[in-house]
Amino acid sequence: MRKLFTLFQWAVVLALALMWARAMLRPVPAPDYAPESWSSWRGFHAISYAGVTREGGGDYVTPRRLASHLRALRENGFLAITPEDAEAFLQGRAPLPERAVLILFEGGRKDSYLAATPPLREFGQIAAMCVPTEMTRRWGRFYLRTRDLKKFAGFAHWRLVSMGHAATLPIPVGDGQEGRFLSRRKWIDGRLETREEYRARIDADFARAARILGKAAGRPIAGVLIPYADAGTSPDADPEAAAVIADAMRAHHRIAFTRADGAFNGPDSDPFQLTRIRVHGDWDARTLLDELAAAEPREDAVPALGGPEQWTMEGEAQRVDEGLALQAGGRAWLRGASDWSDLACAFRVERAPGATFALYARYAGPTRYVRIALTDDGARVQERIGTGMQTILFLAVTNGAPTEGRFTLRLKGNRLWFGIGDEPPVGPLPLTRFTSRGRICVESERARALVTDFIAAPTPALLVQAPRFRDLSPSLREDTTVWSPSWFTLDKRPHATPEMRSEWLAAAARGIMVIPRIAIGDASENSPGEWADALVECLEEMAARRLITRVAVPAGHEWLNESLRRRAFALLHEVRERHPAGWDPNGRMARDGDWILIDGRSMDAGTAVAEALRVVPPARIFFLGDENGARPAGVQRAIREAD
Amino acid sequence: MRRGWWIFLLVATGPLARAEEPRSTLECIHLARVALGVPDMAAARAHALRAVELDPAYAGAWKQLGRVLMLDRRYADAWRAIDTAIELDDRDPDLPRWRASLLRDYAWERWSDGATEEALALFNEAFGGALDRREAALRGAAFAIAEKGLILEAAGLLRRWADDALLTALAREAMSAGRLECAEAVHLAMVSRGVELPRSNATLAFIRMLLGRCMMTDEELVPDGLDAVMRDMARETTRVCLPDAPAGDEDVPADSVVTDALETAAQRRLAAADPGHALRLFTRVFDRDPNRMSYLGAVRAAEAARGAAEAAQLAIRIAERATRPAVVFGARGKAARLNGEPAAAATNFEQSLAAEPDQPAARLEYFHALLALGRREDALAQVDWMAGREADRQVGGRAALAEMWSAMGDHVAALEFWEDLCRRYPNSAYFAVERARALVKLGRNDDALAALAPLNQHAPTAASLEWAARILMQQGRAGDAIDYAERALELEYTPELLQLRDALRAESKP
Repeated sequence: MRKLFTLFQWAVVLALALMWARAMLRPVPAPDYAPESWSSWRGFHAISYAGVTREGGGDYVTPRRLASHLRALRENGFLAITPEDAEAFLQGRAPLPERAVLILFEGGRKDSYLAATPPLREFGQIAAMCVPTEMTRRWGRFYLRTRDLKKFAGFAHWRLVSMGHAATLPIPVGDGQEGRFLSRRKWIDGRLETREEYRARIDADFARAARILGKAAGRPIAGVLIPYADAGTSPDADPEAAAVIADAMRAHHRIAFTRADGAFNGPDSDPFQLTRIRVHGDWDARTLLDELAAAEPREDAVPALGGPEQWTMEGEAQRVDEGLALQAGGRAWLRGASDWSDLACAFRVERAPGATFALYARYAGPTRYVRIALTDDGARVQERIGTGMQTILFLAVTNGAPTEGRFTLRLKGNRLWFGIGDEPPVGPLPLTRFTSRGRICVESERARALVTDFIAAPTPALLVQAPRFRDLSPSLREDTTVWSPSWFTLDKRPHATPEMRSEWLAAAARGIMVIPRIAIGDASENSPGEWADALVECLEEMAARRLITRVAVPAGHEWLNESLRRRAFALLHEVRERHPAGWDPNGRMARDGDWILIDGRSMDAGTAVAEALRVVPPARIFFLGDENGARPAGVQRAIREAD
Repeated sequence: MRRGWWIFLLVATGPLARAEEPRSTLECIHLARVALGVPDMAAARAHALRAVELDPAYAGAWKQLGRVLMLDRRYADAWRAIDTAIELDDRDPDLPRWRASLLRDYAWERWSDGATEEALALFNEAFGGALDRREAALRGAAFAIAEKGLILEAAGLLRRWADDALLTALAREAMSAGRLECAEAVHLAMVSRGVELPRSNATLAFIRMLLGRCMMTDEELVPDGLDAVMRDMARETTRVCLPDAPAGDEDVPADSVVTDALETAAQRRLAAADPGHALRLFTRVFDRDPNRMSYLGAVRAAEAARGAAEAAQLAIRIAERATRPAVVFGARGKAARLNGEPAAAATNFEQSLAAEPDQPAARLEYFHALLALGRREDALAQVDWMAGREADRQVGGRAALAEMWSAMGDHVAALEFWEDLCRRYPNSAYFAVERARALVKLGRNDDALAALAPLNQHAPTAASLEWAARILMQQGRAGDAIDYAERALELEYTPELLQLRDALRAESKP
């Protein structure tokens, strides 16, 4: 009996050993990650979890809910990407999966890691752990420790993102007062730190975190996530904060999540002003998918206010029968407009006396947007550039304060038109290059406002090859976004004429980009540098160098391209036939932000576009079709007017 | 609702305290405006240039640059900037006005630089635009051009840009102010445009007569249907231009505007060293009104044109016809001086001045007569009177006072006055020569030569060249002196200059 018991004991031990060995030796399933098969240039969603807890609630999800989210993402075709993929995409170097999502876990919490790892493995996804590295040095098991981080280098399902070193922790900002580490100056020995001390502290914090995480991961850390989405933009932030934080981010990272006002980041998003949505603890999988769907970019017009699904409401904003009702502090974001640039918008507003109604366009974060503000005093058109708000136009009101009216806004390139009622719109008014694209939002402050008759539409790009801009029909001039005249031939020294100057000014004054075409002619390949210098002189003579930054060249003349690039010209490659060496043999097109014009009249359109899409995003591809104007979906339209 | 809105402001109101370089063209425009208000032109220019650099296709940036350059008097660059702004935004109402203003200012700058043709072209461009206070600007330009002797050019400007009402008003103003060149240009424009014919034609002929340009044609003398003044004007034109013309009815009031115009023109011709024409005009003046106080001017003209004897006869004729004591005794006094009778001259001038003391010219004559009689104390009293008049800031006495100091031999005091007069009237050859003369008297021959040099280089007169020759002769530079004397002879062939040249030639022979 005793012998039997001994045998039983050994059997149990053996079984346990086998189970342990099996568990240890079982291969971890690799994530579903195949960048070589990706071909989409649309963009990516970013979602972030504050933490995973057993109980859930508030901002925290339970492990079960997290698993349901990851399952739903997987089952609906979302493939997770890494911060490095996002970086390559934003630099125009590499496409993404058709439905790309970057999953972030904030705070460097160990419970998030433990709870998320199994479902990540199960559904083949990758996530990024955002770590405030100061926490890794603390006692206890709540946060990941330094030795834990070292293991991340070997985890296929995890990447690391910085949250600064102590950037999540409060600092003294006054006598007995505390404030945010990044956006406030520190109170030291009865005084606030100087500008230089402030700058040095922030830079040192980012540097320290990047060093710790880089050492753990075995490579530099691409991304940083700014705690509290406050990159110096909160109301109590130091006036220098935005610049100081931006400089530190750029010094130590290549992408930065500074906002939390949307999920989608398009190809033209600023790599240092990326946005993510924070997943609420009570969101089920369906809600998460709906949120992502609502954030998808739309290229079609918004013909009416639509239902509540068309808006993301904040504060007391509500879709009611009469329209979009905004109580004081209420705000509504138009879904899918995150990447809009040129657009036309019209709306009617009924404003309670004292209310400030505002429409935001090209909103790319708290530091960059265009704003129409309607108050009792009048209407202001403003542009936010960094910490400064600039009033471009003020239409004062007489005869009392109108509280109701219809307004129009049109944006094209760096020009804006604003109209009230049936009056001709005022414009073109100048915008800076800093507000190029972004979301649309309406808000009301101090009192109630009602928005009705809302229409918005992105303006499609149209490249027109024509000798003279003024010869275009008025309607075509209105539609044109890029005018490409045949001004230069490589076998003749570039020479500015009054007519060229006049035509250029006429086009640029209307917000139209001008891209002069360069013909090769009988030029030798020996002196493209001298010719490019002469081109710079010619454009400077026309005062055009600042705005004419891109030139159109026949594809395949790399000796010319290099000379132009060295003089800071971006390129538009005019492609008439397939090049034997491929579209972009040395990768410069993707890296340098080049554009491609496909002459669809001389080659197979479908094949050409498909090949081009592997090189650059569709926003950078123009298609010159036949007279019918048909073009493959997704690329931009080009037409040629007869000489 | 739309009734209630109006465009109030198009301006950047960005944060000014930001240390970083402006990134927006509107912010730069705003900073340029602030700098203009300081004013700090260099900063304003830098900000405006930066605005253009940031957005060269924005009309407002070019507009601001044009404004800054205009205020900085860089008119050519401002013109280009404003033209670019107009090219970009032809609806801005400021731009055509600014453009016209800057072209007007640019025209004046070129005018003062002596670039007459360019200035005329710019004036035409300016008046063709939306110039503020266009009529005043046109008047100023046309009068300045006319008074520089460019009558046809001034008339062309007026013909092109002035309307009939303005031409009529300008004609009246120029005539009443005695600005005969301006009046000629205005009337030429009126005639060519057919304004107020035949009156304008007759007035043009009259003005030309007053100016010494007797270009009589039948077309210009059309007295039929004219009022009394115009008939008088036409008659006087005929008499001055055609001295043998039969006398007409003297039914015109003696104090008519025609007499005033004749007298003003006579004095101007005398001042312009045209004594012959001045005498003809003075003759008509005193035929019409022998009591005119310009009697000494008339006698001076006669003396310069026909010699002292005929001048004395004219003075006697005036005295015989006049009834005004100041004129009667004054003319007699002048005749006595011309006849070498200083005692009689002094007596008559004393009576003339007793009748009407405020006669600087007569007092100067009296002064010379007293000096000739050796009555220095009495002469000095006349100097005091003239100095008191000068102290009362009455113009006209200063030159006489300078002359008096010279005659009294106080060349230091005289030089002070001549130098002051030269500063006030830099183009006056008479003052320059008198200044040189005073310097010579003080033994400062080199300074005298230096004082005459600009005049002899740019606008020599016989007197200035003669004095230069005399100074050079004193310095033993006979060769140079001969050159000056011969140049003087080319301008004025007088026995004195001939004698001087011959003396110099004789002296230069070994």
